[in-house]
Amino acid sequence: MIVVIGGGPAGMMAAIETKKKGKDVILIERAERLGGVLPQCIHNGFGLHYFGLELTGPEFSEMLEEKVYELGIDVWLNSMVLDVTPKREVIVAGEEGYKTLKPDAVIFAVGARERPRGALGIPGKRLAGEYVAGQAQYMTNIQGYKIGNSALIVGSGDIGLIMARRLTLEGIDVKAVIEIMPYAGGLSRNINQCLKDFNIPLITSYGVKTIQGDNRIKEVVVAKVDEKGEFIEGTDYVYKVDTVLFSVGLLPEVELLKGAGIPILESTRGPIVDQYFSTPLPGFYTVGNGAAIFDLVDNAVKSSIVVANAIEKDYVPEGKFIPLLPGKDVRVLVPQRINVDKFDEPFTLYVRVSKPSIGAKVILSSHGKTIFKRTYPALRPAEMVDIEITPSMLTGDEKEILVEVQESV
Amino acid sequence: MSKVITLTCIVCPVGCDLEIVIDGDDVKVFGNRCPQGQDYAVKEIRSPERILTTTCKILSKKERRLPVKTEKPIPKDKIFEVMKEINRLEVEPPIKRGDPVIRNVLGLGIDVVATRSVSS
Repeated sequence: MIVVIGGGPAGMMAAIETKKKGKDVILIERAERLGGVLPQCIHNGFGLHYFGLELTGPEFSEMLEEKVYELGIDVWLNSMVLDVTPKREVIVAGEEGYKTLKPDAVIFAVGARERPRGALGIPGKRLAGEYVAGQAQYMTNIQGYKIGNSALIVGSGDIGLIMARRLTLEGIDVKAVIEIMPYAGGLSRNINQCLKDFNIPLITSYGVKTIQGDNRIKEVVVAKVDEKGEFIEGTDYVYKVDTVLFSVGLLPEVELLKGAGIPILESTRGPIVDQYFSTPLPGFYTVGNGAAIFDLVDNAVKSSIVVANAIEKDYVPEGKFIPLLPGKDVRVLVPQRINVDKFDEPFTLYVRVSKPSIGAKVILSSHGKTIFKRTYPALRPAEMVDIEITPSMLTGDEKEILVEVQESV
Repeated sequence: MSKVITLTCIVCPVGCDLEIVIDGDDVKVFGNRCPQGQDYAVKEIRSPERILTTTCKILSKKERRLPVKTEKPIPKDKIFEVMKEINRLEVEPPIKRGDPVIRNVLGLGIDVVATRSVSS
């Protein structure tokens, strides 16, 4: 029996694919319905890779949900996993009370959390009108609230850009999107269609100095930052707004993983996984944004298919591992190690770069010997690079593999 | 009198910075690295279109909002007018994903459809 924790897209896909392999599956979701964050992502652009259709979040979610029920998967809604022990016991509080499950494998599909204001260290009072972007999205799209009258968006990741458009359509005056980096975080498509279409300015190299007001936000002071990220004197600008959205990144949710004794990486703040999305502990897998922050839901659900195949093969994370190390201008790598003793099929390596570049190369090397090299017309942090790694690319004697970006000269 | 507009091309991830010079009916595109940038820019200048996604009211005990979209792209300058039409709606469940909630909105020949199902 397999337990999947989390009924978002990656969890639903993990349940579907393992069920198709003939396994008994229990899909546990703490909310009252499946879908995770997708039902609130009402914009389109999902599913181009996986379904070959341009879908909205609710449509993508419902199509997976239909498959889950069609296959007769045992779905436990309103059920919270309280703990997962290193002995692979899953403790659940749900509609039938408190239960302890002892599955053959646990698939963590627990998603991510938004980085809040606290992660930015912005001084000032804690006032009404301050939201993380996903919370604002839930309140707007699911609950139907108008969350303010005028807003400033902090962070130019895609969720921030999409919410800038969404709030504008709902009659909220979005003054600007502020980005501390010198370039936008999100896709150019979203810069065009969410900001330029509505004349919302994107202010790069600016950070938030302080947020002021009495009970509700009244104003936000921003200022230009230098290369070290420090505020430049005399560049203060005041936005009179009653609402601030933070869209400053996601972090994998790891609380349950820690309890199970799964090692967490400093760099990604997520678990260590190999090419099968297996953690170093046998029978513990992670998928989707709970494994690493993916760019597209299409890629997040692919990780679930990989895990289902590994479970079918009774994969055990033992043998010789080669670590993959992020080098120059590489922020995130998934997986972070390759099990070379059980490397008989190609896998996809996802690389997230740390800054945009045109015509740069991504290079994989081991002790100066190049394993892979490709020139990319464009590299952007918002879009992951996927590289197919085949067994023939490695000798198996590598001690480590360095992944880096080499800019064109 | 010619007018100059700047635009980031969204055809591929390169994202060329386009400079478009409009002189009456004449549209000249600069900065594109490939011919697709030319086509994109001309389309964006002459008749930009977008798929509109939003929510409308649903008369359900379970759900407060029903997500909807225009099933095809609509002219960009009609977005707020179509929003007004959608904001007037009160949809009765049951409704299936893909069911129209407005047929031929504003005579554009395009339906507004539900993007999720809600049972009664």
